[in-house]
Amino acid sequence: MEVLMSAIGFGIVTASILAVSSVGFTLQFSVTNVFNLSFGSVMTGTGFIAYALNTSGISIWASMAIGALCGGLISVALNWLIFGRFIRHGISRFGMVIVTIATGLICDNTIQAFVGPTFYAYNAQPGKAFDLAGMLLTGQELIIIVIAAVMMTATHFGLKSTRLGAAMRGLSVNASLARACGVPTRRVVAVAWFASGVMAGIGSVALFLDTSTFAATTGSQFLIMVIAAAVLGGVGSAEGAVVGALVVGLATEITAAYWNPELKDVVAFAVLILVLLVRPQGMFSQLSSERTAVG
Amino acid sequence: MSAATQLYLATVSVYICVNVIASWALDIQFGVTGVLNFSFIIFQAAGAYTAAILSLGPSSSSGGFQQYVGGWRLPFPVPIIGAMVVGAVLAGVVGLVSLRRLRSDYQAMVMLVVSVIATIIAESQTGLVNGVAGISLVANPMVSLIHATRQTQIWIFVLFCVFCMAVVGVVMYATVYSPFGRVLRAVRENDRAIEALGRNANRHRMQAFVIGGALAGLSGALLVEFIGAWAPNGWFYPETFVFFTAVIVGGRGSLTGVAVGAALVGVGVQQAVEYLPITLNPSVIASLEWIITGILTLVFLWTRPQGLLPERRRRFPAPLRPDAPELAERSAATKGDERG
Amino acid sequence: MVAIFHAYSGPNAAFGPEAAAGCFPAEKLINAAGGVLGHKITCDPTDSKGDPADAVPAANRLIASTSSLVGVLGGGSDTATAVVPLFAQANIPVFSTTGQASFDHSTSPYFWRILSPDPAQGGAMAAAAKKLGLKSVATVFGNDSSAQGSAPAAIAGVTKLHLHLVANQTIAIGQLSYRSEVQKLASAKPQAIISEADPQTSATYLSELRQLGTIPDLITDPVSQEPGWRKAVIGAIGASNLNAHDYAVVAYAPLTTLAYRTYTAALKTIGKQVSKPMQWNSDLYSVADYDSVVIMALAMDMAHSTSPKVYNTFIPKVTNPSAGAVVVHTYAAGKAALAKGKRIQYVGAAGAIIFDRWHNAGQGFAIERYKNGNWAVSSVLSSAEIKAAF
Repeated sequence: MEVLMSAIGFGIVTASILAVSSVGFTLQFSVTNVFNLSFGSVMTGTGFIAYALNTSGISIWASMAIGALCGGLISVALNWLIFGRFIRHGISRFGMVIVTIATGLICDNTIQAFVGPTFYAYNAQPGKAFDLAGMLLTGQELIIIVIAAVMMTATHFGLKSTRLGAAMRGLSVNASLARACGVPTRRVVAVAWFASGVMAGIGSVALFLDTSTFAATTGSQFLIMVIAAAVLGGVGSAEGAVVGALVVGLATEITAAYWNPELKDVVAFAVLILVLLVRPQGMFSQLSSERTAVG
Repeated sequence: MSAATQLYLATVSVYICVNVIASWALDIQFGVTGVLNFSFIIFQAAGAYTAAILSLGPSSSSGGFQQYVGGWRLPFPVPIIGAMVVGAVLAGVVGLVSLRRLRSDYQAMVMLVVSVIATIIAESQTGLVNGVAGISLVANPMVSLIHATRQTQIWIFVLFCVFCMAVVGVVMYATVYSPFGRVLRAVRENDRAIEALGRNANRHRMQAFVIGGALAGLSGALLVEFIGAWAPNGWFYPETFVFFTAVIVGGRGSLTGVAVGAALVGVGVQQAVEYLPITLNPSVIASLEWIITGILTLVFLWTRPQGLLPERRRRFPAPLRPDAPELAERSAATKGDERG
Repeated sequence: MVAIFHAYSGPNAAFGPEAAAGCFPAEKLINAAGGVLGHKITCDPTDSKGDPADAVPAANRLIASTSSLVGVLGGGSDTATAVVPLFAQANIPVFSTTGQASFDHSTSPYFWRILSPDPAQGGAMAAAAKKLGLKSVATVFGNDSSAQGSAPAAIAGVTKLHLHLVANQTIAIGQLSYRSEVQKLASAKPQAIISEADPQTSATYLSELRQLGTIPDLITDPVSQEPGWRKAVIGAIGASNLNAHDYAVVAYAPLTTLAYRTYTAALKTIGKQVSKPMQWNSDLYSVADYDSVVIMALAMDMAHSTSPKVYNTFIPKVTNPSAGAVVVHTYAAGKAALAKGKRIQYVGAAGAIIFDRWHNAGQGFAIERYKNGNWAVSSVLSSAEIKAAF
């Protein structure tokens, strides 16, 4: 029982980090229909910006906030420079995925050329561990869970109650109709990219804190899990991303506790594939047909 | 010409042949049929591993320092054929799981995930293909077949690779410019129309997928028999992207185009970058290769998405009048491909 | 020209600078003493990319394009089996730091290995555990090739020495968390952990272990003396924590000898070629690479030839003991003694190097601790103690 509880505790931490990142990924997808595989590089980039801030004396949480803002700006810039232009140029859906991969490769390797292949660590103490009903979590991990919960709630209410949220939901369902109703597409799209970048920033700092050391490759390694969680929940659905993150997080930690830890990621991916076999649009998505990209 | 230069030229030749075969394999899957196969590299890796474990002796021999399944010391060319079979079978399995009624980006992601799963399994199950250390001491088949100097053996192997490339080229030509090829292209362009004609788009995707898998396996077998070793570090999932760039730069769907792309991107970029001045930190050079590959893709997708040597646009003659005598024979042969 | 053929990119990207930190000081000292037969030595770094498929064309290109190539430092465990045969075929001596057991009985005349193979290392770690008076230990090894070479020997040694093995873990390198494995280890309550894993894996694992309480003693190997490893783990658990618990079991090379001091003095001056050179001063692989280049130069001097084919056979003649040989510790001293017609035995910064008939030179082992900013030998394992673990 103790093993199970601690596995669940660990799973929740992993899920929190995954959830923030996946919601960022899926929110941007729901509005723009761009499957953005350079999301991992944005995570890496903001993680390193936070590192630069942190090592010059700023507290890690403040660094996270500033890094997240930078992440938002970087995402908007990438869309303005590259993605939006390709979409308006008339590229196919296939082409767009490849464009995002190419962009991701360029960004990742540029970062790597600058920071080198070594591993870095933040100046942050994990704090002592608390025992909550068998789950052993440190102060740092608890803060990460709280931040994730706050971001999820904010996103949920943002989408439901604000005009911007309504505009985003409108664009995600039917872009041309939304445009016809007067939704300022370019502006809403920019906000979606900004939000995605902010989430990437928060997720990356949380991730780098959690793994205690990181390098230029950590973001793209994590990207696969982010996409797995997002696709599992149904890309485009924020609730789906959260549920997907929980499933992936818990599946990995429970596998590690009870079976072979080396294969824990494999199990999570196997769950993804099984879910897609049964429900090809993912758990929560209503959209099974293809839409055109919006830039 | 010194022995060392000869060996270098031989190496470049083998790598060009292997890259061309592999790029043709991806071309059949992606260029012609439109499947975004983001797990492509694992088929080449599976072929390489298969050729290795079939041609090596039992793992307990020579010190037992590497563990792997198989080890039946099969003679040339059985390991190569085995590699193609395994490549095809693996494609079948992956296709079963991913070539379903999934939206194309999900499909691509599932394949990417499959690639990551393959890496994890190969690295963690050390008894399978010796884990992270990889398999080594794979002998070049020409060494035991032909009794001559090592240089001659290597050049004969190069000739063999060129021969394989030529055979694959002929097979590709026959496939791509045949009615079957037309169906594949139709699946790429408009799968709903194909379905409306009563054909199963996914079944055709699977066919293209399996053919591509076999060819990728062949490329892996040739590569491992030349290099002598194979390890997971060499086939992480981003490597698939190099082949995508080759197909895009060369011209998707076009055989000569893809061959040119394979030589340029697969071999050319890598070798050219090495001639940069030594003052550059060597690790930056490696990053530069990827950056150039990415930039090439973006530039081509923006300015010339059809590639350097684009696919020939097929022109069909005007439809025959209903009472034309040719129509009766034609419809017997092709079962309604021409209509609609 | 001596080529540094190691990974400068990919997962093992630290191998390249590590070897450079050995080559360039040697280059400096050799050229300062007048070079070899009037020629200057230059170190040329080449990226092997860390995997066989990319290393083979790079090696072939290196051989083809460099007419003055006299020796290679290279082939780490990631590429050695693929590239060592290539260099051997081109008749170029290659000094490799790979620990793979497959080279234990190497039949290649051009392959030379100064450091012990991985299984010897593993057994030595078990012997060290016994020497430290430990009763219950756990083994935690990453699944990369060098760790997998030493793990079986370490586990077998622990059993043979009648220590209690409370947990035996193989962890996948590069994962983002190891919480469950760490949990299992902590509940097994070992007195010490025998471990080898790459920097990121070790840092993540130890950081999570520390969250559950204090970390037990660590019995590690030369990997833990690499600057990348220390940087990552110190970032994760703090320097005082690490130094208090880390017992590094490494090849016995007293770090106070003239050879070693000569090496570190030269290391300080190569800041242009290697960034932050002094971070490598306790890295045994760098030290071994330094000795390798010095040996190459001395062998060329003794053979009166820079032709690799010719001087290769003189390599053991400058390192193995022989009657009447003058023991030397630097290139300058060796060159001078050879000029006087004497035989020499070069005892380098990595200690005495005695090649057996398979061109392997394992030495004894010692336990080192990091104190006051430096590694120091705290006790030496006798050959009897090591033998008992096998």
